Amino acid sequence: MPAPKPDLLPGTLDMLVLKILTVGPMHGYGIAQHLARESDALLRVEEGSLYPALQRMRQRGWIKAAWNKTPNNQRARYYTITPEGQKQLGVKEAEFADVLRGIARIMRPA
Amino acid sequence: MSLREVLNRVHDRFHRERLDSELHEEMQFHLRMLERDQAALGVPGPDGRLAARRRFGSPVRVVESARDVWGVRGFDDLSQDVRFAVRSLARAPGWTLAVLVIIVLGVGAAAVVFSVVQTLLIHPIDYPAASRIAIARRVDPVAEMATSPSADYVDAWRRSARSVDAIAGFARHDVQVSSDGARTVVSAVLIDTGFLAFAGAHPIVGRNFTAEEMIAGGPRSVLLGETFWRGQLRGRVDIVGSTMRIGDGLATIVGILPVTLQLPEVDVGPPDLWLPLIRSENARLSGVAVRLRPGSSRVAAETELDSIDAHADIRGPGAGGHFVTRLIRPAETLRFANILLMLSGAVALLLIVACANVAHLMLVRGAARERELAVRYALGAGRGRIVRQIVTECLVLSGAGCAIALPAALIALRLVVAGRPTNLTALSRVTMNSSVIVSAIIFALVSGVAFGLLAGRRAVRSGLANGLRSNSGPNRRGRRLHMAFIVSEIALSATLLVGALTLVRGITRLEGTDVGFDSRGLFALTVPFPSAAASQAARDAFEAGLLERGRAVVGVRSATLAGTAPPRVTFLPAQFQAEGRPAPQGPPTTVTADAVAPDYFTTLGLRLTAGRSFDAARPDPTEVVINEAFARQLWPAASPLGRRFRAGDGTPTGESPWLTVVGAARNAVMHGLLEDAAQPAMYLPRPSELLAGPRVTLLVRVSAGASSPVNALRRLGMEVASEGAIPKVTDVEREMGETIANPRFTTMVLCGFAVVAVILAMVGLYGVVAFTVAQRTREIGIRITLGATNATIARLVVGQGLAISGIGVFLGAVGAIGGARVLAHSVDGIPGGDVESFVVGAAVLLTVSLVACIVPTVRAAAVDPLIAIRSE
Repeated sequence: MPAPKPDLLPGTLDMLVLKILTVGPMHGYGIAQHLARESDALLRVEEGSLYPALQRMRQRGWIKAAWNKTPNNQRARYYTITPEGQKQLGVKEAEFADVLRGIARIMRPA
Repeated sequence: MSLREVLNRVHDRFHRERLDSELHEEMQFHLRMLERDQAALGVPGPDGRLAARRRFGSPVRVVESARDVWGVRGFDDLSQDVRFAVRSLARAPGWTLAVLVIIVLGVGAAAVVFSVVQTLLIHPIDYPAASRIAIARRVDPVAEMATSPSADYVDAWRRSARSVDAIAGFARHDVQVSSDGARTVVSAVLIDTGFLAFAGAHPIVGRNFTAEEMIAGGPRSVLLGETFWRGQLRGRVDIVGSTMRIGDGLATIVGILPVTLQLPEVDVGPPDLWLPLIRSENARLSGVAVRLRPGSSRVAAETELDSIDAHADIRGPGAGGHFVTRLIRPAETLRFANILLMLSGAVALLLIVACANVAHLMLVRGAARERELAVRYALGAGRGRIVRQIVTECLVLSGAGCAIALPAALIALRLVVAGRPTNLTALSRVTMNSSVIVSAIIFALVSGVAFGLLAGRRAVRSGLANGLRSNSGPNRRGRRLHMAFIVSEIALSATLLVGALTLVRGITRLEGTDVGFDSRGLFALTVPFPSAAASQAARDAFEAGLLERGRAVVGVRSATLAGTAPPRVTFLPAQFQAEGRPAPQGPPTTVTADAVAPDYFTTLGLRLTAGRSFDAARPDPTEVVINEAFARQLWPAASPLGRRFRAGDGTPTGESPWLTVVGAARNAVMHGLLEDAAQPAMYLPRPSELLAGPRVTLLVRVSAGASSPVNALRRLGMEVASEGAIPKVTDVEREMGETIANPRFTTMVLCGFAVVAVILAMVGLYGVVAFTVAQRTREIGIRITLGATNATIARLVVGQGLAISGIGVFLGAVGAIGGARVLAHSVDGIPGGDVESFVVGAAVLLTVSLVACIVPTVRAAAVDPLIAIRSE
């Protein structure tokens, strides 16, 4: 599987997607839009790479997928976070905070 | 990976197409939306589409990545590996066939034997808490007698035994059933009210016996066996509540018991009828089963029951003397439990041989493909991948082996069950159950993986390094080990083969035994005297009538009367005093004795070597015919004719009148083919006070080609016997044959094993010789170049094969000497080893060894010297 762009810390894509889905059910395009908007376009991923990640998380039971109509009456697949996914998000957030703290410590001006 | 993820993965794996199309639709939507955004930003048309594409990335790569997520990597690789393994095995058809033969024989034989063991020895009865069930016997170790405890014991034990939970007594009886004037004899088992609870069984229809029905004079009732009910009464449920005539009275049918209800004695099949065990009427039990209290051992229970016996005042069979109570496992009541144990040992040995064989063939193949593997390794296949490939091959082989072996075993099992002697009723219950099938599959898979890993490790360790360097083979030590394998295999099969041949010869000899009379076309009907025939005159009249009606049966050439029909005889233990000699002291001699009609000897074809039979018109009760063995015993050096002797029990009052010998008959084996013909026998004229018995036997000889008179005799028996009596019809020739049914069965089974062992050994020998030929291709090529002829090459190859099998046969013969001794002890009527069996066994093995060498020899002779030398 191709890694997300190198500017995204490895393993963080899952966390970001889960976080975004806590807002509500969303389709792949919506997730990509959200990601770009919320990060002020600082975080850029190839939007296609969302899909294998979504498939993997669906297999792991973190998210669920269901076909639905968009407000413009188009067919799209909406993803919803599951309780298992909520739990996973907590774990990832804690891990991420640790990593950040560690990095910050090293990078602190002497 | 959580379980759910695994399940989802497997689920996705099989729905890849739907997932694919869904992903496409999803991506199309995404791209459409991106294009719309571009259009909104003022970049329409192809440029906008391009920008959208850039933002999205490569759809092809997305699909590839997603497919990786859906696929089950291991599974897909496995199916690829399996296909590859099948192709690679198909390239070595001879080797594959050899391995398959070994697996099929090994697994098949084991499945058959363990099915039998499982059904008959491990789970012989299907009672609740079956492991605590034991059969009680009264055993006198001094007199070597055993009997079932009488009902008095059961009562005493029920009153005070603390080591047993429950006791169930039962008795077997044949009874006469009459309906619409036709009378038939059916089998019945008498049980008390607690028996069904003890066995954990319930009537299919109706109810158990009540307490009143267990008392003499109470209402008479019967439970039908399921088979009898379905067969004779066509499974009519409304039969319950009606009456049937059993013996001399009417009984109400109160229910039907399932065919699965067995007696705790494993050998006995389910009866036609179940009757209440009424104490005063039938005090004699044919079996007593106990269920031990949890935690109490059989030995402790035996001790306790014996101490109860000592206090209770018990009479009847099994009391007094040196009798003690023994509790045995239900499986021990099996007549052929010992043979079964022997077979389990043999089959375990067979499995070891099969494994050794496969191991050897694996090495042969490993050596043969060292180069192939080394090339693949050099081309970048990982070590793990190569090992996995070899393991997959082994699994494919063991899987295929199982797929053939289990159905084959099922067929073999049917054959064994069909070929069983009639007295081994228990065998008919044997089926192949799931636990045997599962164990066979597990065994095959585990050994497949184990062999694969071993061979793979070996290949990786030794092969990959030097496979390309030279045509190397296993080292010297390894080869010695292979030789030792093959030699011991051949030795084992030689031992088995000689044993089987000894048995076959023994059985053939027994079957060909000159019984001294002509059993072909000889039939008998034994009837109890009717209760009305109380006086001797009435009995004489009954006998005369019986004889007359017997002569009238279609096909009957001659008819006569006796007390018993072969293979049953009456033993008369007595002291025999020849006239003019002192009365003998010491233990009595046992003589078979019968009271017979004057034409007994002619009808049976029992030749008189001297003298005459009794006077047909007026038999003289003081006359006697004795056989040659008895004559020699009484008067070793002189003709017995006209001499007198008498039988006594050692007291002056217990002596018979003097009997005058009027004829001498040939020695005849009347009581079974396993018996000694030279047993003394005496024949007295009917009626004889000395041998007065409750029944009379009509013996008839039918003309050659006449149809069997069995049914006519059975009808005749029913007509003349009084109500409730059980007449018995005997096909003498068949029943004489039945007396050696058990050794014949053992022979059949051992022959099967010997054949399997010989095939295994020959496949092993083939493997070793073929391997050597493959190893020595270059040497053979050089020899041919230097002028060796086909004959020389053949001598080279065959010489090696024969040398190996020669050593094996020699060692096997040594083993067979010991084996023959074991056989002679454990199988009745089999003499110790005979020279012919050894010679024939060795010849057979050496001949098939030659055959096993043919293919490698042909291959060696076909070696093209140029190619062989250049191939380096």
